[in-house]
Amino acid sequence: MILLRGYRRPNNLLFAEMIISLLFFILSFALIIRVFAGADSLEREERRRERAALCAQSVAEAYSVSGDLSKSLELALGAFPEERGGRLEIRLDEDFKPEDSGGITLVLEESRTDSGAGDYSELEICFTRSGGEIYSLKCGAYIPRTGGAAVEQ
Amino acid sequence: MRDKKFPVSSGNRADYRARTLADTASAVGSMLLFVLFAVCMLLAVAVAADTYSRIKNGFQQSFGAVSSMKYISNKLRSADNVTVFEDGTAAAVENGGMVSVIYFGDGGLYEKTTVSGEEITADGGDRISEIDFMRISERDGLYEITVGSGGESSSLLVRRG
Repeated sequence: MILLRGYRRPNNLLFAEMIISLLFFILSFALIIRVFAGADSLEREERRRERAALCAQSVAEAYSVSGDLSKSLELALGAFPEERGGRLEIRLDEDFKPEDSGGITLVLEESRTDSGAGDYSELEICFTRSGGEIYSLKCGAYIPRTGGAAVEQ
Repeated sequence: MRDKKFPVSSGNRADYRARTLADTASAVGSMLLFVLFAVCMLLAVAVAADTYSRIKNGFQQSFGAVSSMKYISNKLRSADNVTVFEDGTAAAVENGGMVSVIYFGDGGLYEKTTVSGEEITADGGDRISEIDFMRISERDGLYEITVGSGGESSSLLVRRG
């Protein structure tokens, strides 16, 4: 180093400049990667939400026809879960197909009010993943004794 | 020139060699840093391009399938009468004396509107969106619309009548 002192200093300056540029680049690179990872994550979340919305709509439509929780899930997803006191829970995979070890949980909660000629039923369809809500839909249906008719909200 | 600048003596010669080595090391180090910089830059561009491409494709696939399904489901809901073709790739939707034929063909969803009572064929319509396949079926009082786009398929149930 003693030999370099005072001799061909431009090389040292170039070296220092390159290191500073590289450090700046590394910081920018980290920022860019983070932005793109965020965008990718948002896009995946959006696609999941869209699929959940379609799935919820199918369940609501099936419920409007059948007036029964289990039957509506059977029609919409081909699943046969057991209903417990107006509540039904099922696990789905990333393609929204029934899968016991799936990461998405679909919860259906039904509350019925007897109105003489039939029941007025409120159904809440909620999709969750890792504790966070993906999508939820509330719908109301008037279910006559003989069949179903629903109005989605 | 060399002799003038660095007189030939054993001490000066060693000094000169050391300086030359230091210069070479500095230049090589700078070049290596530049190469590292360039490689990192290429890597960043490649990663960014890949991610952007994935996001764009995902959006297009999702938009194509979802918008097609919503379009068909809205048509079916507002119809007075619906006739689903045997192979499920087309449906004639009658509403207010007009018949709209929604069909899949040539890599897209098409629609053709004709007056009620005329011959209904699934050709010569306007392109609505790009999809891989479309199928409409009837079961248990519901229409099932299945649309494929970008290697993925999605289904939607719509109440009949």
